[in-house]
Amino acid sequence: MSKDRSAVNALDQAFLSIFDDMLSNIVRVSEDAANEILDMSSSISSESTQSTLHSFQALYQSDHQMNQIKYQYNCEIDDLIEQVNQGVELPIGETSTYQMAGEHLAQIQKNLEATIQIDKELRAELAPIIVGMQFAETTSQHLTGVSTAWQCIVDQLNTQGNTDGESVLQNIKNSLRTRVEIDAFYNKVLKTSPPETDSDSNLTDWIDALFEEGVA
Amino acid sequence: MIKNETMDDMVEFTSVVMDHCRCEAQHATEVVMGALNYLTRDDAVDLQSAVQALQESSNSDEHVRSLKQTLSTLQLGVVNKTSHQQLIAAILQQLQFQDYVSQQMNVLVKMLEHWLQTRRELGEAVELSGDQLLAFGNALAAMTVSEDEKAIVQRHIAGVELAVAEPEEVDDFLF
Repeated sequence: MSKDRSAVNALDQAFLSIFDDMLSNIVRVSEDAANEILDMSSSISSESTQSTLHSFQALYQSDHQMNQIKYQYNCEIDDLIEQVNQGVELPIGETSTYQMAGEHLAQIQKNLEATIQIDKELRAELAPIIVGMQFAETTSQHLTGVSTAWQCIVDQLNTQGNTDGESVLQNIKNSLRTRVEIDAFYNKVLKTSPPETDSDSNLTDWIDALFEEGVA
Repeated sequence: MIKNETMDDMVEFTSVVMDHCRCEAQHATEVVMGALNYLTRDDAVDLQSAVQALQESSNSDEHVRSLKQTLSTLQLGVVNKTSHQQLIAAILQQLQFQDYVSQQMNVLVKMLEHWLQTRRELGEAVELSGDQLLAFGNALAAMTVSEDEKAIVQRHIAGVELAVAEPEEVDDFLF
């Protein structure tokens, strides 16, 4: 921390603490909203439908296995990009992590599809519940990403001495998990084109497509 | 050391992500409204005009107005199917939540902009006085829309005024 700008540093610390708490507050409200929507839906849906909805929620909210798979997959992508940058020739084919993630998503999609394809009335009843949970969780993911990024900045501001600003940006880049955050960070901060990887919104797109027919 | 330009870029990055959240809120609201319209098609509730206004709304303010109109219509209407009443209660809660997130994104972006502006004004100043910090905290608190958020500001900056007038567009029904 440079001594000649201590006023700015004091302001930064106060503001970023507030900002982080505000983000955490929204994330908490998001999670509460998703849980409440799910609870209230219990009176209008069957047991099997409830079971699928809980699976859906678990996939987005509390499935640590899935989170671990996503994390491993993202790490593998980072490694692959790093190897490509170093001129290493890569083997062709999908990684085991990618296959695990694909199988897991496929099962959830199958259950949801079976539930939703019953009739138009039920689809209309489920659309708000599923879209609500989906929205709550993606909001939570995005804001957690933003919060983590700013935390890296705060950590750097609080560090005594000359920490390399570039390494902070590298840490932020590695912490981002959703396509939206990664694209925004590359475009706005790194001023370069983001890497081309598989979108993480396949399930979201699929759900949108499912509800486009017949609900609205 | 992080440069000022990088901080500006970080704010832009944050704004892009929050804009995306706002768009997702709008999209989710449209899907919910479509479902609501279908479910209440036989009831004494006319949501067609509200849904149309919602879909045609081009900015956040219009969107909130359309949403309020829809909610008012629902409150006044009579829902015939008892089985739908519980669902509609859940849907209303969800619409409130989506509106809340949109509002929060606006608040956070305004806060970030105010912070950067204050940083620039401080320049190379060595000391941040208590009055300067308090003025900064009061400005942030004035941007918030709930007591919880004001309390967050107060928790980090002692002496911040809690009794700040609520913005005009906020009512009890929409957080």
